[in-house]
Amino acid sequence: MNRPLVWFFLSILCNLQTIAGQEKFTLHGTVSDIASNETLIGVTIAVPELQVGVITNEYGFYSITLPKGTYQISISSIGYKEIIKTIDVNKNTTLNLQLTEEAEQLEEIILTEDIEKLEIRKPQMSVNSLSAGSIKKIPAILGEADVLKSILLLPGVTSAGEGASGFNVRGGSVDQNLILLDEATIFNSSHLFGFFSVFNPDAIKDLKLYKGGIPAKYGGRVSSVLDIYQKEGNSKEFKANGGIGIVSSRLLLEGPLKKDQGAFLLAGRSSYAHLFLPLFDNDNKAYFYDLNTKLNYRLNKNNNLYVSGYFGRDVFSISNSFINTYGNSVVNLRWNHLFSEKIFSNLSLIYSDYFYGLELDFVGFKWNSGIQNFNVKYDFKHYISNDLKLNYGINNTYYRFNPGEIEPNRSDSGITPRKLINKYANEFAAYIDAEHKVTENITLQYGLRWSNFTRLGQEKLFIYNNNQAVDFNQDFQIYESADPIGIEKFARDAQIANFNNLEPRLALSYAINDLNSVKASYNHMAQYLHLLSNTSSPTPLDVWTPSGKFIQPQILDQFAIGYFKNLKNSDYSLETEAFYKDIKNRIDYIDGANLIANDAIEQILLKGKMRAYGLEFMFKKSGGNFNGWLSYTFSRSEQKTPGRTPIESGINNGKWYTTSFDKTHDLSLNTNYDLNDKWSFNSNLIFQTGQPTNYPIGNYEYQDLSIPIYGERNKQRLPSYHRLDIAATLTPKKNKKRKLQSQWVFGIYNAYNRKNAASISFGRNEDTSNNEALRTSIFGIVPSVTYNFKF
Amino acid sequence: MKKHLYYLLFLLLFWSCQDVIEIDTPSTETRLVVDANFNVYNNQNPTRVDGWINLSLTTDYFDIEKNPINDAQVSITNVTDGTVYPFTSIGSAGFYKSANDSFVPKFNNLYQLNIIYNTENYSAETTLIPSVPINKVTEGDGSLFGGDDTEIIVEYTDDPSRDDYYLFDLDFNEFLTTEDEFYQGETFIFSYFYDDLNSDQEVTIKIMGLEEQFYNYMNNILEQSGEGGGSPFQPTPSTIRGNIVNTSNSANFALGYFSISETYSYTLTIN
Repeated sequence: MNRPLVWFFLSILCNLQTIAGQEKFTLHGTVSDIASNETLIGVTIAVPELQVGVITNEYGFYSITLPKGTYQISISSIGYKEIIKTIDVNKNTTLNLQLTEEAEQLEEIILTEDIEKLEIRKPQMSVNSLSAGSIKKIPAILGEADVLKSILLLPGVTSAGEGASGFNVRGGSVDQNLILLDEATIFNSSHLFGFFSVFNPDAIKDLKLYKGGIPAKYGGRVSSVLDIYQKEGNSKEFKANGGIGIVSSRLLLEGPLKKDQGAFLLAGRSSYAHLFLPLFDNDNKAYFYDLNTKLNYRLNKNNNLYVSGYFGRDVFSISNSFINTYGNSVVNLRWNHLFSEKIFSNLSLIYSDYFYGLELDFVGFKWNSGIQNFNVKYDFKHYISNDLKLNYGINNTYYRFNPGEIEPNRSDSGITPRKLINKYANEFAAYIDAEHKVTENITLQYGLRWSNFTRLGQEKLFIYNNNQAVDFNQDFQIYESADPIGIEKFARDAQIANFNNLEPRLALSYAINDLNSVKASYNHMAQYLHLLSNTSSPTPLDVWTPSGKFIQPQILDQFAIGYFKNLKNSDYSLETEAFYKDIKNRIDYIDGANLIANDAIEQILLKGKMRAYGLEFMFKKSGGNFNGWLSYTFSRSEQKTPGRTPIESGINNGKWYTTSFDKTHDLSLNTNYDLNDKWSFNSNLIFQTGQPTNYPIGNYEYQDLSIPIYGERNKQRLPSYHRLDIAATLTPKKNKKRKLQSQWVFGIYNAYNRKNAASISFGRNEDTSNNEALRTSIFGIVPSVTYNFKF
Repeated sequence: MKKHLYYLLFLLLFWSCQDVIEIDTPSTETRLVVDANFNVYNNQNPTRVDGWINLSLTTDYFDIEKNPINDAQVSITNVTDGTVYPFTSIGSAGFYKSANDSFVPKFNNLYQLNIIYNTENYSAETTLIPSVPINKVTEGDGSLFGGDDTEIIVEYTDDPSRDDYYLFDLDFNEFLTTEDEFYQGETFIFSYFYDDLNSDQEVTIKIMGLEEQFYNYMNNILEQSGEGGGSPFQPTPSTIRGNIVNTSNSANFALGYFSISETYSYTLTIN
């Protein structure tokens, strides 16, 4: 055994001995907002005298163990008045705390906590947090505050363009993000093909984005975790707030079920029906809506119940001959239970459903597809000592995939009803994760997750020669679907395939002093579900498919190292990180693959790999009238699908190619200036390398069609993308004298009207018959005004 | 299906705008292009065969001048019965025809195209692929965007005994591919919308039978020729390989396709 390791184990032993040697008592409880009883996440409870502290978890709970004695404790959170309390610790004590907001401005009524503040000693790295308050301040397209668009301003986060759905983290694809809303998995995060996100900013308390060093609690996606918590509702008094904007209107109602014990929250948002189709006549509709609900009830001091729900839909209809509906539904029941003052637990029962429906009257059919899952998880947080905290739990998800069902929509339709074969799977995981302060300066977080994925029996599955569902045609140098040689039938409880993975996670923090630290992390993760999408950004029609006989789980290894610095009373912070990641078994598609209504998806898939690396930099100022952040990312994201044998060409001749969301340079500057009680100003300045694209390298005519010839993949780039957004918020003075609080937000998106190319396409001009290049730009300068109210 | 829908919706978003821009596209070595499609009208007496072989070289993307090949040796051999049909160059646009249109393909015969160009041999094989007649084409009064578009309704009955792949030539350089997976053996009706047709204008609709490989090829060709232009929902484009093989030097492959389709047509006069 080498010396550092010996030293490491000795230090653990020493720690354990000190725990045993002193008489200690535990202080625990929840921290909430005094006005609404809304629990507060990430509040610091510190004992300066002992140099120890703890922060509240996702449910506002904390537990801290102190030697017998009398201490001053400080409870603090940005946006709230700090409390200093003197506590006599001579027995285990329940101490529920309430904080009062600092200012009465409307935008700050929405919680702003120090969750965004950098924690220098915690090993957790590669995490960014945003509170709902910060999200609402960021200038947004058409004045619609947007959760997903906000995180694009953070380092390491990009998207495939303005109209693209989802987001890409550290060069990973959209389907590699685990998006959790109150612990429930959301499969499609976008409205209107990506222009808006499905999260109503009014209903959200805060979010955390893990880009690396992902704790063992999370699994099933290899790139990131976006953990979003909804507000619980005001258990003190009835409140309403909302907003009227250009695209949509919002209304949120909340109030006590039983005063100080339970609360409800109901939030709705809907866009206006004809908004996107003003140029056409009134038979057309395009709108989205969503509904968030939450109930919470405190049964007694050790038990809390939560019920939350989300329902969202997008609806398009054109002359009743094209009708398209899709969206998520989620129902979630959670039970918080305190086993002791040191063991916090949460049990979640979750049902979630993604539905996609399409009716095409001019062809005479109806189509629907979707994915349903039932998820049970039981998570424990065990505050063993101030130096050692454990998280452990289990998680089981049962999936049912409906790849598609087609039926005639009228009696004279020639369509024969047809059901693609349903797929079933079960994913189980157990994990344990420790946060361990080894010495004054070294903190470790280490954990292990065991994940098991079983592809369950389905009606039938094709059999191929050599288990190879894709053939390579050497004459024409193209990949083709193989012809099945038979069919296997399975009982529902049969196992078609079974995968096990041990996923170690490790993070280390070395605090050089109170203001500087160095962190490093490694994580190994497995992803068993794959989104089938061969377009540059996913569409709502894309279907998810489970791993199985022909598709292997994606396996990630990620390394990251970073340097963190707080300056000047922690008002300024600097984060720099470098990462490298490598993903095995990334699926790729044969040319011209048809992904929709394909009952034998294995016949168009090839297996490749992915890698990404980069440098991230973030400079942030948090306090004062003038604050904001500057983030810069230099990165590369690539994919490679080599031939399976030397005679095969692979995709792109088996060479590495950049992914469609690769951006070499990505810079954003977000600033916020509070001029006075009445006016505040915000701006975004964004510069990004253009996305990879493909220009034709030649041309020919075939059957009077002009056909471009393309060379290696993603070799060219669109012109650089940049824009400036500004917003001004007006809070009228008369607010102070009345119950109704109002606020106006005036915004200009893309203020200097840059024509950023969303795509450049090539085709023949109908009039001249000559080829031309056509640039599509989505948003020019877009002014907006939004009215927000609260009473 | 997907590309059409999303293209449509994408354009509906009123703030998107398109403009023509100047771009320098890269160059690459030229390749032979073989455009050899034959439409066989078995319902006419005598059987009519529409088609020719057109040879050219690829150009740079924005080149206006075409690059026809008039000096190749071209023939089609009926491999099943041994007959050779020589094709000779007609005019200067790269067209080749058989003598007296003697090339009349029949079912269940294998045909091989042979081209000698620039001392290299190119070849391709295909068979006559069956199709089905169009029952009727009528003009509808529906519209997709409420504008001046003209709806036509096409009805045909699929053959239940086989898996079919069809190509519709809808005139005006508009094409549509379809396979019978979801309407096997049924009478199938679909609507197609044209921009702005004049009354008394004639529209000829053709239905052709395709082999699966040619169906995939046509899908790729239509996708990349700009039909789905402007939409972010396009697959990454690539060089589309057809069924022409360079037997002398496989790396110097040719583009294009050799196909023979049974074809039915229907002509409608717009009211």
